Amino acid sequence: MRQIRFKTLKTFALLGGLLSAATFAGLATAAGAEDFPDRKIQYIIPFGPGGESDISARLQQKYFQEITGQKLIIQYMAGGGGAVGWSQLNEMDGDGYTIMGTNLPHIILKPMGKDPGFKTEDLKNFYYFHYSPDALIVSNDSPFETLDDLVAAAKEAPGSVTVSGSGTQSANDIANRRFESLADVKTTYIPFKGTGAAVTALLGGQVQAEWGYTTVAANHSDKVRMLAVAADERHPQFPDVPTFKELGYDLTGGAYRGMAVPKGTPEDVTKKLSDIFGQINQDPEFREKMQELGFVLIDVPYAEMDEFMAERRKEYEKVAREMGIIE
Amino acid sequence: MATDNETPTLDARSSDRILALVIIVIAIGALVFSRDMSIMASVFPRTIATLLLIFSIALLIRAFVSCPQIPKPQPGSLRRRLGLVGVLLLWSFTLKWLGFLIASILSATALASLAHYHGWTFKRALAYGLVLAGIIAFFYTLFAILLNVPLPVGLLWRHF
Amino acid sequence: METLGFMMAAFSPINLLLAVLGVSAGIFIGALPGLSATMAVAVLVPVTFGMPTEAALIMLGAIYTGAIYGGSYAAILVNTPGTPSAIATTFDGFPMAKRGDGDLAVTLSTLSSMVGGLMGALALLSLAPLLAQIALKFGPVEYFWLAIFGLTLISALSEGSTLKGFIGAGIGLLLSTVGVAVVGADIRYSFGSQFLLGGVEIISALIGLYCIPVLIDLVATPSAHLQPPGEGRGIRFTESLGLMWRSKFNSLRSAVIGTAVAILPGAGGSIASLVSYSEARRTSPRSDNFGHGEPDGMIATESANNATVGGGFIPTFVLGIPGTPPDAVILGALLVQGFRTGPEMFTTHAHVTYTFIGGLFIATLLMLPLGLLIGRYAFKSIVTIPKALLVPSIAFMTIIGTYAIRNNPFDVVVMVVLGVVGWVLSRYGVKPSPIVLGLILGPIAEQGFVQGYLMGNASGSVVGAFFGRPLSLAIIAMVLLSVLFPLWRGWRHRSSKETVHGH
Repeated sequence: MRQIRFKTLKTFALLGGLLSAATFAGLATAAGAEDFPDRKIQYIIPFGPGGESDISARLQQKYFQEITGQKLIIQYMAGGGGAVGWSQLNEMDGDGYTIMGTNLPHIILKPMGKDPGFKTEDLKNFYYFHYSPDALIVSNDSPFETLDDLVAAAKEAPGSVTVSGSGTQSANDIANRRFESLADVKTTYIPFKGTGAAVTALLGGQVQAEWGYTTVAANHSDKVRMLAVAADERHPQFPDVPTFKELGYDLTGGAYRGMAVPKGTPEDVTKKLSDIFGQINQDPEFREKMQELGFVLIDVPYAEMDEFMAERRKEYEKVAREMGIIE
Repeated sequence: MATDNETPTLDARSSDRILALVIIVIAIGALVFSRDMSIMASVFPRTIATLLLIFSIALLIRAFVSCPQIPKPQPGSLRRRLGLVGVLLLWSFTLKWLGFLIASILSATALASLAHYHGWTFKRALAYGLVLAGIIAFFYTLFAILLNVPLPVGLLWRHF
Repeated sequence: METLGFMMAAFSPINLLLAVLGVSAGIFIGALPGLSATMAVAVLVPVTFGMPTEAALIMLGAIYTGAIYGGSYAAILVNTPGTPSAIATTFDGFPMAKRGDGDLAVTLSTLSSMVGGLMGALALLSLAPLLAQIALKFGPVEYFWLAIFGLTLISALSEGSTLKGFIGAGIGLLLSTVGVAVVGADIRYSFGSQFLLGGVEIISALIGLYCIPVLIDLVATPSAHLQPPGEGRGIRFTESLGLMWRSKFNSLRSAVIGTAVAILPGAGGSIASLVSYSEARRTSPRSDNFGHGEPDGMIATESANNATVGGGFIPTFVLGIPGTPPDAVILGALLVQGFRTGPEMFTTHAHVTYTFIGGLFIATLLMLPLGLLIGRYAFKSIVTIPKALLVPSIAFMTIIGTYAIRNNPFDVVVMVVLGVVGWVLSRYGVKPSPIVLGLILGPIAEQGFVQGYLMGNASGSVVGAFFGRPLSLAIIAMVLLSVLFPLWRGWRHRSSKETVHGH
């Protein structure tokens, strides 16, 4: 409780600063990146609480406070699979004190279909910090011992193997499509609302396999096992699980997570933010915690963002064409 | 809303007909707008719209063959009701533009005068004003500072 | 015995203090329309980072328990359910408050919440692994039938015309499809507006549909919002105890239903209290009074909705699948603290889990003194505050509360518009409850149906998928019962006297 008290006092003191900052927004932001940040930062997650975006942000929270001495306040702005938040990001104050989580493939795939209210290039991403590699997961007592078993079953009776996953046109759906075309099989993909519901269906034996992430396997390690992981290298947490590449399928990918600022944010502040989050990514304790939960850390700072996005875009465009999202 | 067993009732024939027609329009609209959805996504809304259509047609027929009753609504001033609806709508629309505090202070004042049935004396106005200001200040503190909710600052003021 | 030792750890002075603080804050937050348990818990999470895990969990559990109970104040005093699980509390709680029995209603809700909370915590303590296995048996098809079952409650819940009840539900179901579809990823009925992408948020719909009509009728006349209570009656504790004793079976049954249904992730909490309400109404000798301020109805829903706290933790702890949104936040906090859910929670980390369950018991027991104290004050102030202050205050809370759910100004517009439409519709005889029920159950029914269909297709028999499983057959039987019973009752009713009920 003492923390709350303390926070109240401090924020009361800050209130004056806040009000003047709102009035002289132009001046305040010009003041420069050296003392940035000098107050709390709002970190908006465009999804509900409890998901992977939330959990990874919560892990960053602690180290952000250690590095900058300022609070990182996590807020949720759920709706439309992220679209509600992203479509409003550029209306927010571009002073560096508002940042928002962004996710791949969502921010690239969504604008390809019907207009979701934002464009991929309108999002000013400044750091991508990790991804959860796609993984094909079965329950512990599944008859599929290896990926080959599953492929054989799917070849024998096309469409009979049921696979759950989170959402349509999502990372899971894409992974399944790409796998189907690489292995030349047909499965039945069943979209669920969120990873939690998809893994419930697997645990309950409603489906035979699940497209999930290494994080799911880490969370439910006592009940499920992975057939293969869509990463370049084996995950340190699961040294026994082969990658798709090792098994002959050129499949890497997953759900990437990063952060963006409103478009009007000054360059130097954006760079500073990128540096801070880069620093968090180097913290050994943070790295260990993330890895234990099944995440894979990556470092894409602001300077390399355009290149990274262009690469991903090329990859997703190909799949989107196969899926019929674009002509 | 409490209704005693002996609530006075009204003839609902004409109101039921209006209701049925409005719902029929909504259901047909829902069917029309489901045309460009994928099969998976359109099954459910189409089924619901069809059921809604059937129910409202049944309601329409019933309003012609029998004499349904509905409980008599609560009496009261329509002008004040419309006033409240207007203020609430304005409040919700201006939130983003005027900012949370200004929109709330203006609307709360309007609502206080709308809900007041006695005369205004200076003393009463002052007392009510202070209490309202106190309530708004309290909740503003609670939400904006303790709960860290990013309340809208007002897009209009951004350029000053 | 070891378990008991762990639970006793919850009784340390510092933990007790945290529980008192948590429960009080929770009651306060839950009592404000729009400020949900989810938010209360989410705000607290970063504060708990610096605490020992046990203390953090106790505080989180306490604030959650308090918030669910506090939600009954808003439901009773201003007809506004703060969470879907408090919808049924408005049915009888608000009429009771209106006629001057608000004090009785608050005391009864405190007692029932305590019974429910204890039952839920007890189930979590003793039956968690078993119940979690049952929860896993529920597949998409079962969820589909469960949603249908929920929809059939409309005929039991709707006052006046059943046909209009179904029309209301249809409107709610259609509203639930607005936004980005989970299956198919289509953008439906958004009419090109980016704001409708996120669909209609359930809690803002609840606030709009229940609270705005109250405000609209409040400004229309100079008469008081609630009847003032009789002089010198205090909190009517003895009277409440008598009523509780009369309804002991009702209360226990509702608590069991609440716990059992709440173990189903996602669907549970919102349906649990409705099922127990309709069950209480079906078996009550005073079933005609339900909806007009019958204490039994309130006892049923409040017992059930506080039982969902403990019940919802069962899948959260055992399976790592959050049962309710606040559970999702607590699960996240656990992961950040370095705990992995699953059977380990009851073995390796037993000290944490059992201390937490102990904390839940404490929080539930603390609800009695704290709740009676705060509740009495809340009721008094609502009764005595002049209308010119009451109306803007309630309106202010609905606006700020709705905004804070998703930090989205457009949700506030949706809330007000829905409220006005709801008020007009209720003048035409379509009540808000069926609409809300449709809104809540729509996504469950739709996803269950499409997923079930896809699975049936893969296995070669769609009919077999929907009708071939024992569990789904059992739910279908409940659906039939729930449809046929009101018909039978209506027939019996009509043969005794002509009324405005039915048609």
